Amino acid sequence: MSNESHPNSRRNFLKSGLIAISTAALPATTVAAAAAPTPSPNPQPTRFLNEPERHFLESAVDRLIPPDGRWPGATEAGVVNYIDLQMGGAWGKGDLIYRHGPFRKGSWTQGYQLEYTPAELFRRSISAINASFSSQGTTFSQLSPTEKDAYLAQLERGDFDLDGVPSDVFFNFLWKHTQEGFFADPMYGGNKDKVAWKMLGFPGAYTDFYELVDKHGMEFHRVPVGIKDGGMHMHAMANSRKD
Amino acid sequence: MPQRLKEVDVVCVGMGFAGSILAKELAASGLKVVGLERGKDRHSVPDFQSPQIHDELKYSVRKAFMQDVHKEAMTFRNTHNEVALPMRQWEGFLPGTGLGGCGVHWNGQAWRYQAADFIYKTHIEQRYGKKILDPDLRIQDWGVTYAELEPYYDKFEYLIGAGGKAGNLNGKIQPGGNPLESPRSREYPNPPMKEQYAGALFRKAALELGYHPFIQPSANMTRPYTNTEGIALNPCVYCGFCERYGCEQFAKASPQTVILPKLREYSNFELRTGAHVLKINLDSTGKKATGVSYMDEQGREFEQPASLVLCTAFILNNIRMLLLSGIGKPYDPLTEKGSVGRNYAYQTQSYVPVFFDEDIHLNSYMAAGASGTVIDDFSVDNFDHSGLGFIGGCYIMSGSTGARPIEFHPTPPGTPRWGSRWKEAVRKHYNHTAIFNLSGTSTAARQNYADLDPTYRDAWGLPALRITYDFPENDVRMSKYVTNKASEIAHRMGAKTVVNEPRVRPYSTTTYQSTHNTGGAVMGNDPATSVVNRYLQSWDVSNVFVVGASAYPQNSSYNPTVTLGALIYWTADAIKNHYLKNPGPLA
Amino acid sequence: MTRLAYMRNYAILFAAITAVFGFRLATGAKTAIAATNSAQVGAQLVSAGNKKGAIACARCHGYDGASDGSGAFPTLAGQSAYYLTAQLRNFASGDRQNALMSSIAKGLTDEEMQSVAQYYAAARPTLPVKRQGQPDLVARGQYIATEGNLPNRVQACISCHGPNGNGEPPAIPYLSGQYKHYIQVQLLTFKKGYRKDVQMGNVGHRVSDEQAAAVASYFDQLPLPNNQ
Repeated sequence: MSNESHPNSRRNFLKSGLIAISTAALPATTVAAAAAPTPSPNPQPTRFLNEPERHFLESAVDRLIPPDGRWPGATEAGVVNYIDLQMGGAWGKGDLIYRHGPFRKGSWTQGYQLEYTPAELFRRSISAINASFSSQGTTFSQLSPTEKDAYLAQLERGDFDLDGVPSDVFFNFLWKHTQEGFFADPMYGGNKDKVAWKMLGFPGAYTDFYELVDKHGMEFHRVPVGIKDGGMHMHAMANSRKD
Repeated sequence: MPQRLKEVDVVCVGMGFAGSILAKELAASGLKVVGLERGKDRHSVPDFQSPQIHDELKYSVRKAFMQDVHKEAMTFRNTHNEVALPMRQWEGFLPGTGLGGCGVHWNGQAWRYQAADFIYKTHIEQRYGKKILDPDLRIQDWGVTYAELEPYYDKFEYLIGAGGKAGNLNGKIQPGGNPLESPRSREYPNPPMKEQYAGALFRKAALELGYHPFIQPSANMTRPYTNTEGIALNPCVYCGFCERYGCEQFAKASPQTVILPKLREYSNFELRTGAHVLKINLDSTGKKATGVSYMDEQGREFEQPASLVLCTAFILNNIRMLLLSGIGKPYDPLTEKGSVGRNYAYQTQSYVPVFFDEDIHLNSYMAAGASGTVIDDFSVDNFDHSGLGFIGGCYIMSGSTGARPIEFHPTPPGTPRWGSRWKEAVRKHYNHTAIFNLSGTSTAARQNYADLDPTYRDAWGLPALRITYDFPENDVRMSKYVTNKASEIAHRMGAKTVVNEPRVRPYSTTTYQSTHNTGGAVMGNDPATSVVNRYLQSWDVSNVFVVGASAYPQNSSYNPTVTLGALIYWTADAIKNHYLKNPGPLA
Repeated sequence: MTRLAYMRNYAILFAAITAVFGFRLATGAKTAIAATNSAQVGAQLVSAGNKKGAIACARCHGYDGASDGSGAFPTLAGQSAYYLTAQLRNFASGDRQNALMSSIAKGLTDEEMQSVAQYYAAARPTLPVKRQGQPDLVARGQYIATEGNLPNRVQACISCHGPNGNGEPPAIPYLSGQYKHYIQVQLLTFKKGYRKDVQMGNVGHRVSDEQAAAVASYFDQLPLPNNQ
């Protein structure tokens, strides 16, 4: 091993004598000075949601997954950011849905049959909800928690028609997206600081368990790790064709 | 005007396990082979590497490896009386796309079928008499026997490095394996998977109840393995991201890890990806295929002439390809005339969630796709059905194939669906809950079938496949019985709460059960009730072979892939040893 | 000065520091070691060994676990205690063969093994060293470490060894900041079977010498993990 690759080798340390010893006596500060991992993105600028929509969602998702003494709720976890990004992207646009007509009402076993893309469904429904509140001079967010829960239960039961969207269809979409935003990898804008994974004890994206899978009953505690943790990770752009 | 390409000997429609293995077998025989895959080329490096592959939202929720439903959907209805509507999002089952097909994103559960399965009609009628069968059931014999297929099962298992312990070696029962399996000629190439805690607890209870637990056979490598093609695989690390995902470790048996590297060495083989086959072309007699027409990603149409066409596009696309190409007569459920689309079946899944106290740490996220401890005591016809009023059964599995949090966060009955109490229940139960998986027979019935939809089309303007399906009453009764048995085991495990969840009607496409769709181009000895003969050769067009689970006259309790592997090699042999020497009907 | 000679000087110097300034400073004031019996046993073994064949760990591995920088001895600082204990057990059982470590490990009881493992798990290098590698080799190593190598059927190192090679505690060690020479030798050791491990034995067989040098260079120039 050559010295060139070790400019601060022990040899130099020894030669500097007393000064080096004094250095050693100082409280270590940047020992193991690793660069802080790039935090997962949680972008604030809005891609899709307008203010009233965001306002409604922040209140609504925080009733679906409320904060408690120990664990954050959906809003603090970034679920509304997640929804914003999803609605503003390919999924919201309907790129992953078959959108050819004719559109007909079917049985529940046939699944979603409305002509709206996810983004359209959200916009239409939330607009109708907000309009119904503003016509009474208030907003959803001004209700008490109990009243909010009661209203959400009504949506869930399908009590309302939200400008062509049965409210239970909207509710199910909202609940599905809330869970996604809460539990998905933080790089999608939710699950901030991996709070959901910490709550569950889910290890995240790095998962070699060859040694541990048959250690029955082992209590496994590890800080969860997300896909973008590390920051230095390099994605190859081109396929290697040397199969 | 489609561009006509130079003629080749063989064209494969779809490059999953079937297309890849058949292409290799025939290229190795010296034939000029073209493999057409509508999806993308992909490789273990870089496409399946972690951590980026461990993305539940992308692959499980948004279904990144599945067919582009924006471009082509299938339609569905429960009964003939309803109007079929498009499955606008994939949920109930997930047809894949891309090089390697389902072999990339399967779990790797590596089961053989039982000897009784291949002669199911004969067997059931002999054992119980015809009156055990509900009037709507249409079980059939396959036209090939287990004994004939055994050497091909062996060949496929050594290709994929299946891991397990033989339970029946040439008729002699072996400790540690499945004593109820049909005889195998030699051991598995690799040892069984490691046992999870949920499996060990199940094992103890199952033994106490007099059952015969064993480790589920697996196509996730249990040690470093060099397969019969000289390709090296690495051991599985129990990462918990198996089904829906590619394997970063080169540990899951997929075409990429077991055959494609070898296939690509042949200069007489050519792979074309982004090649969407529109139909198989026939000559003016309608009895001979001249090749296929396909469209590339730029929208240009090509005609690929070939002497032999292998339809290896996955069961659902196989059926559709025959219908679009006018090969065989479409099935009419009212007259029961015609065979294409007939005997469509599925897999009758059910679950038993088992909730333990918080001192039982299951660590279910430590999992392989084929992890699990199983009993075969209630599968197929492994138990006496006299007086029970149904046929068929399920294997019962405890363990986990992962615990990915978006889709797995179970709560016990009585928990509200959302809110604080839901959240607390999720936190409390996540690492202390096992879910038994019961995989059951799916009995063919006259009213369940596939055909072309009259209304909905794909992005190429071609009619969508229409599926008409609901669980036959027989299968519902079967599921109730076996799920009860599973619940008894769960109670014996000392669980705090056991939830009995048998399969009930109606069948719905809104939540995932299985992608073990089968049938629609079934094999058999009688052209009136089958589409292909016992060599998977079309009765109608003898230079077309249709190789997929489309061949299954009904579905057994087990996952279909390894049985398909056996049929692939069986068909390859028939083509190499008989068909090529004398092209024409083999049966 | 030969490596052995300056190691000895280093050991003497550190003994002197310990004597003059006390134990805590010598290891860096940052990480306090819990004052349990196990910690005292660990510290005692690290500085003085025992009478059953275990020489003082610090002689080769240093008090801070950073060893002598040569790469002949691995950095142990901040390594998972579970992993370090497993290595000592493997040295004792013969699953891992090493002329020096085998007899040392055989001289330790299982409790003693766990104690020294915990000691080094809590240790941090006193002298933060940012090493550099040859850029081409590092880049090549980064590719293999983060994407794998298709022709050799090798998966990305980080898929098991964690983001930036920071390890997947408790079972899988970090590689980031580990000495290049040590990593290279271990890959060879796995290949030759002197160290038995189902996964790494297989990787060792697959990785060429050139690839081993590349990934070793890559990990060598990364900082040690920010242990959580």
